[in-house]
Amino acid sequence: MSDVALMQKHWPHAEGAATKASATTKLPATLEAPATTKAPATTGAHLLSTRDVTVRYDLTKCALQPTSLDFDKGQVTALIGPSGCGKSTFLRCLNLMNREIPRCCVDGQICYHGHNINTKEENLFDLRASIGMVFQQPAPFRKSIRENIIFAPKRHGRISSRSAADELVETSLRQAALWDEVKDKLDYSAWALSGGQQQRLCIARALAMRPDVILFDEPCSALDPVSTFAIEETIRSIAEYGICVVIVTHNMEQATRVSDRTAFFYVGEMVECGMTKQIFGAPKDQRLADYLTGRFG
Amino acid sequence: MTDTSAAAASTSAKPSVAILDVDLDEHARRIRKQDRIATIFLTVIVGFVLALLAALVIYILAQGLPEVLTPGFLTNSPLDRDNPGISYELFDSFYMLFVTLVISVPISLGAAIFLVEYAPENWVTSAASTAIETLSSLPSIVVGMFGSLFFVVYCGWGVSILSGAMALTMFNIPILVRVIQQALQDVPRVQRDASLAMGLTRWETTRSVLLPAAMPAIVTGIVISAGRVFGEAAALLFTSGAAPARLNFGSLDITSLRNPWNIFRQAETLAVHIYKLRMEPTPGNDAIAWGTAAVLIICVLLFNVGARMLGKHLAKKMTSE
Repeated sequence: MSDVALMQKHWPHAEGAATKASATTKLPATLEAPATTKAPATTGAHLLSTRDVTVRYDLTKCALQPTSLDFDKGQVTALIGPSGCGKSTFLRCLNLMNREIPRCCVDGQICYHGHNINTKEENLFDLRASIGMVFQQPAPFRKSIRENIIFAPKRHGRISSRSAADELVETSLRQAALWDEVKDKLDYSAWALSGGQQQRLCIARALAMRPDVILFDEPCSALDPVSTFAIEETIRSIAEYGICVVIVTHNMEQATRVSDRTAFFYVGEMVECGMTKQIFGAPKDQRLADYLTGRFG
Repeated sequence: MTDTSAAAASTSAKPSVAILDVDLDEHARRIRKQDRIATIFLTVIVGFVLALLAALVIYILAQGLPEVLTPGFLTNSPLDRDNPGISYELFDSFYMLFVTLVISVPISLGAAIFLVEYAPENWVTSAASTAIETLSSLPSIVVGMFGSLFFVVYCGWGVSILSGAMALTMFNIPILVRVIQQALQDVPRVQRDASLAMGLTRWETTRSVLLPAAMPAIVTGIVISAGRVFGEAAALLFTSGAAPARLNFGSLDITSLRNPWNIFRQAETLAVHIYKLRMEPTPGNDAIAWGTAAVLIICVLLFNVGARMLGKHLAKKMTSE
C-alpha cells in the first residue's frame, strides 16, 4: 500500500480524504475506534479552547496568569518566550499533566471538543489517549521498537490481532519518517537508537494512539540540526493529517518555519497571540518586539 | 593625561592599589603547593583504606587457604571423624541466603515502589522511612534475640532455617529498600511522564516502564545485599542454631529433619561455624576456623565483584540488544 493510501486509511479526517465530518469517521475494521469523541457543542467551535487558565505551585506561587487560547484542528500553534515564562506550564495543562505534580493547582476552563476537562471527574486515561505529548528529552521505553509503539494501544484495548499491530507500527513509523531506518530492526532495543531517532520514535509512539492533538514540549532542543530538520518536517506533515499541534519552542526561527499561529509568553503571562506572519512581522506589544530583536531571552 | 588618571585612581580605588602590592608569582607558588599537598594527603588516605582491606584479605587467605586447598575440606561433612570438612555449612549458608532472598526481595520491592511512586508526602511516609532506617541500625545480636523469642518460640518454628531467614530478612529489608528506592529514583523523570502522558495508569507505568529500566541497579543491589547477609553470625546463633543437622542428600521426605531442603530443620552457616569452632578448644579446630574464614571472605568478594560486573553487563545489554 502506498504511503498516501496508508495515511488516508488511518487518518480519514485528513484534508482531501473522503469524509470531512469528524464526528463519525469510518475506521478500518482491524483497528478499534478510539474511545470518546464528544461532538462539538456548536459548529465552528475550537477543538481545544482555554479560558482563564491559571497555575499555582504550592498553592501560593503563581506560575501562569489567566490565559485564554484556542487551538484548531490541522493547525500548528507555537508557544514562544524566554525561559521560565510559563509556556511549558501552560502546555502541560492541556493534557492535565500538571496533576502529576503534587500541590500544583490548575484553575480555569479547558474545553476539549466543547466540554470542560479541568474537573475532578475527568477520566485522565481516556483523555490522554486522545491528547498525546512528546517531551524535550527523548524517552523511549526500555523495550524493542515495535513494543514501544504498540504498548499503549494494546493497553487501551485497541489492537485485536498481530497484523493490526504490524500495520500500526508501519504507519506510525512512516509518519514519523523513521520507517526506512528501522524497518529491519523492529525487535531491537529502542535504547540503541541515536538521539534524533529516539525522538522520532517517541513521535511515532504518540501517533500510534491516533490522537486529535499532539503537544510538543521543546522536542528539538536536545538534538542536532539534521534531526531537528527531520522533526520539523514531521510536525508539518502531522498537521496536514488533521491533527492539532501545539509546540513549545525557544527557537524563534523554528516557530516561523513550523507554525501557523504563535503565542508569546512573558513571565507567566500570555502577552500576544496571532498568525505567525503577523507576530514576527508586526508585533504589537513592546515586550514581544524586544524579545524578537534579542534584547532579552 | 597622567594627571587625570592619577586623580581617577585616588578618588576611586584604594583596593586597586592594594592588589598591585601582592606578588603574583609568590601567590601562585603558594597555592600550587597547597594543591599538591592536598592531593598527596587525600591519595595517602585512600591508599591507607585500600591497604587495610588488602591486609585483611591477604592475612586471612594466607592463614586459611592451605586448609581450604586440602582435599576433602569443601566436600567432607563436619561430622566426619578423620577429616572434617565444611560441606554442610557451605550448603546451609547458600540455602539460608536463598530462603532469605525469597522472603525479603518481594517485601522490599513492594515497600520501595510504594515509597517512591505511591506515598503521599505526609508524616506517615516520613515515619515509614525513618522506621526502615532504624531497622538497619539495630544491633544484630538483639535482632537475634527477638528472632529467637518470636520466630523460634512464639511462632513455634523452633530453631530452624526459617527462623534464621526471618531474622536475616529484618537486616536485608532496609538495605534492599534503600537500594531499590535509589534505583527507581534514578530512572529519568521523563520516562514516567511519557508513560503517564499516553494514558497508562501508575501501576502499568511502574511495572512495564520503570522496573525494566531500573533492573540492572536493582539486581546489583540484591547481590550486594546478599554478600552482606551471607556473613551474618550473631542473628543466627539463636535462630538457626550452632550445630549442623546430619544431612542426608538422598532423602525424599521433605518433612524429615535430615532432608537438606526442609526449612524447619536446624542449620549452621559458615560464620556461625567459625564462632563455634573458636569456642571449642578441640585441637585442629583452629585450622578449620581459618579455612572457613577464607572461604567466607572469598564468597563475599565474589558476591561484590560479581554484582558490579553483572550490573554493568545488564546495563550494556539494555542499550544494545
